[in-house]
Amino acid sequence: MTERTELRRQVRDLCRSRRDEGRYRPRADAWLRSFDLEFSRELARHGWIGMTWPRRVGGAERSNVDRLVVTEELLRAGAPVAAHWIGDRQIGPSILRHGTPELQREILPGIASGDHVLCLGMSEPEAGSDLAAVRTTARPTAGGWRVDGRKIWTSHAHRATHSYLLARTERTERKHDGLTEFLVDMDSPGITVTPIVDMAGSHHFNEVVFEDVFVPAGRVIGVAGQGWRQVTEQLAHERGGPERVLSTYPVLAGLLTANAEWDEGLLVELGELVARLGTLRAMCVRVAEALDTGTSPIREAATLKYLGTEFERDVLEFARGAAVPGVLAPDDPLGEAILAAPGFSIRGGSSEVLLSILAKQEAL
Amino acid sequence: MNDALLAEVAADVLGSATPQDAGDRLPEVWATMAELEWPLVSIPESSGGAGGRLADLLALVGAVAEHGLSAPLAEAALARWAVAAAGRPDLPGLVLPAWEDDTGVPRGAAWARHARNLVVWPRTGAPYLADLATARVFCGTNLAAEPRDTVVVGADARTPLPDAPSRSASVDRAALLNAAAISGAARGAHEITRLHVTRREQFGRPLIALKAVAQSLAGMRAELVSAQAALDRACAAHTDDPTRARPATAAAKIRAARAATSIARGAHQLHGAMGVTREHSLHHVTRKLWAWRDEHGTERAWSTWLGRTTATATEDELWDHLTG
Ligand SMILES: Cc1cc2nc3c(=O)[nH]c(=O)nc-3n(C[C@H](O)[C@H](O)[C@H](O)COP(=O)(O)OP(=O)(O)OC[C@H]3O[C@@H](n4cnc5c(N)ncnc54)[C@H](O)[C@@H]3O)c2cc1C
Repeated sequence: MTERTELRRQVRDLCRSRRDEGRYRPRADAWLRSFDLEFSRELARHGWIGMTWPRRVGGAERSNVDRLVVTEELLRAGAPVAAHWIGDRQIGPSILRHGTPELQREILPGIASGDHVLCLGMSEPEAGSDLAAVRTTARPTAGGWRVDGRKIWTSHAHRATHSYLLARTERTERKHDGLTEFLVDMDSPGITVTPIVDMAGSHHFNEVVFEDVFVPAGRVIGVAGQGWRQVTEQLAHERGGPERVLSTYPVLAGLLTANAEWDEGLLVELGELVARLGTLRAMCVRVAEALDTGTSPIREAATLKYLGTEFERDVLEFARGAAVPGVLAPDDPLGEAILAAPGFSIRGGSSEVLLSILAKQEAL
Repeated sequence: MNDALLAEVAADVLGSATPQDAGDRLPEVWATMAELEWPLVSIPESSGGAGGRLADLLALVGAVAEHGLSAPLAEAALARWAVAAAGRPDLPGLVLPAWEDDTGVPRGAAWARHARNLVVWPRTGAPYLADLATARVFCGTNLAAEPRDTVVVGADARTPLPDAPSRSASVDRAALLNAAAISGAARGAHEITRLHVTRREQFGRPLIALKAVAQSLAGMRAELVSAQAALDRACAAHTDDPTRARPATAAAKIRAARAATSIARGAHQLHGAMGVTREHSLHHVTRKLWAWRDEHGTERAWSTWLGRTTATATEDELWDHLTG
C-alpha cells in the first residue's frame, strides 16, 4: 500500500469509527455547518491540519495532493470539520506565504493544533462581489492600527479566536490599492458579534462590528496597502478545494447505501453525475498539484468552483427524484442540503462573478 | 516526443491544410500523416508501431479535429492497434475498424470505401479481417459529410483474428479516441468564436466588450476544460489501469458530448448569421461536434451504463473508482 493510500485509509477509518460511536451524524455542507472543536483537535493530533506546512510551525510537510486525500475523505464522510476549515484551507497558507516569521510562530501552531478558530472578515454590507469596495478602515496609531467598520456574513465569528480582516488603509485612486490584510484577536476590546440566522433557523454567520479596535503592528499580513494581490491568491485556496464539489456528496452516498431500485431515467442521471464528479475530482487534483509547484491556480480554481457548485446542486435534484417520500423534514440530510444550497453558488464568489473572472481571459 | 514538440509538428503539418468536406478522396494532408506514421503512434515499436504514448495519439487526433480537418486518423490508429495485437502488423494499405450491428452487417463504417481491409467486430465471437477487394460498399455520410459506409463482406473474404482485442475493449478505445476528437473540435469552435467576437463590432465596440458575450464564451471554455480533464483522466486509466478504463471512458465520452452540444450552440449564437454559411469555417468544426457526439455510444447510453454500474456497486466502490 502506498503512503497515500494508507493515509486515505486512516482518515476513512477514523471517520467511520467516530460516526459509528455516534460522535457525529454525516451532514451535507459539513465543512461550513458542522462545528466540533474536539473532532478538529483529534484530526490535529493525527497531523491532518496544516499538513502542508513546515514542521517548525506545527505542520507535517506533506503535499497538497496528500491534503486533498484528507479533505475529500472528510467531506465524503460529512464529518464535523467546520472548526478548523478556514484556518487550515486559507488563512494559514496566507500567513505562511506573506506573514512575518513572528506572526507565523505566533499563529500557525495554534491553527495546526485545532486551538485557534479562524473566521473571514471580508464581506461588508456594501462590499460583497465587489470586494475591493470594503469600507472598514484601519488607521495607523502608535504601535499598530485602529480599526472601524462593519463586516457581514462572517461564518463562525461567534466561535472564532481570530479573524482575518480586509481593511482600507489608504484612500487611493484605484480601489484595488490601499487595502491591507490583518489578523485580529476576536477578544480585542471594541468587537461586537451579532448572530444572523439563516432560513433553516441555524446560526453560523454573523455581523461583526469593529469600533476603534487596536490591532498591533505585527498583525499585518504581508505588506500594508498591497492586500489585493494577496487576497486574490488566497481566493485560489478558498475556491479550489474539493469542498466546492462535495458539499452534497453525503446525500448521494446515503442514496447509494440505501440500495434503491431506480428506473432508467434515474440511472441516466446518476451516470451523468458520476461522470461529472470524476471529472471535477480530476480537476481538484490538478489544482492541488499546481499548489504543490508553488503556483497560484486562480483560473483553475474559479473554473472548478463554477462547475463544482452546479454539480452540488444537481445532486440534490437527482436525490429528490430518487428518494423523496413526499414530505421532507428540515433535519433530513436532503432537506438540510436543499435549504443550504442557495449559498453554494454565492459564498466564496458568486457564479456570475466567477464567470466574469473567467471571461477576462477570453479577451487576451 | 515531448508535448511541445508534438504540438509544433502537428501545427506544422495541419496548419497549411484547408478544411474540406470529405468524400470521394482522402484529404491531401492524409498522405503526410500516414508518412509520419501517426496511425502507428502509441503502438510499441516491438509490435510494428511507432512508439509514443497514448496521450500523444490523443493529442494528434485532437489537433486534426481542432483544425476542422476530416481524416481517418482515429480510425486507422484503432485498426492498427487491433491488428498489431493480433500479430498482423504487416498489412499493407489503409486498415480501418468496423462493428457489426444487430443484423450482422458493419454499418456506419468510417471511411470504409478507402480501406484495403477492415477489422470487424461481430456482436459475439472473434473479430475478423475483411478484405474489401470483393466486398460491396454502400456509401453514406454522417452530419459532417464524412464517409460512413455499409459493407457487405462475403464469407470467403474473412480471416479470423482470434488474438485481436475484444469488441468491448475496441469500443472503449474508439470512444476514447472519439472523446479526444470531440475535445479538439470543441477547442477549435471556441477559438474561432473567440477570434470572431474580439474582431466583430456592434454598438460601436467589439462584441467581447459586452458582458453577456464574454460570459457566454467563458462558459464554453469551462465546458472545454471539463471535457479535457475527463479525457486526461480516461487516458491515464487506459494507460495505467485497464480495470478503470471503461468507467473513465464513459465519463470522458459523456463530458465530451455535453461540451459538444453547448459549445456548438454557443459558437453559432455568437457568430450570428455568419456562422451558418457554407463560406464560414465554423461549420467544419460544429458539424463534427454534432456528428461525433453520438458515435460510439450516445451520452445517454454511456450514462445509463455508468449509472447502472454505480447503482449496483457500493459507495466504497464508487469512491475508490473516483479517487484511485
Ligand atoms: C453561506 C455563506 C457563507 C459566507 N461566509 C462568509 C464569510 O465567512 N466571510 C465573508 O467575508 N463572507 C462570507 N459570505 C459572503 C459572500 O462572500 C458574499 O455573499 C458574496 O461574495 C456575494 O456578495 P453579496 O452577498 O454582497 O452579493 P452582491 O455583491 O450584492 O451580488 C448579488 C448577486 O448579484 C450578481 N452580481 C453581483 N456583481 C456582479 C457582477 N459583477 N457581474 C455579474 N453579476 C453580479 C450575482 O448574482 C450576485 O450573486 C458568505 C456567504 C454565504 C452565502
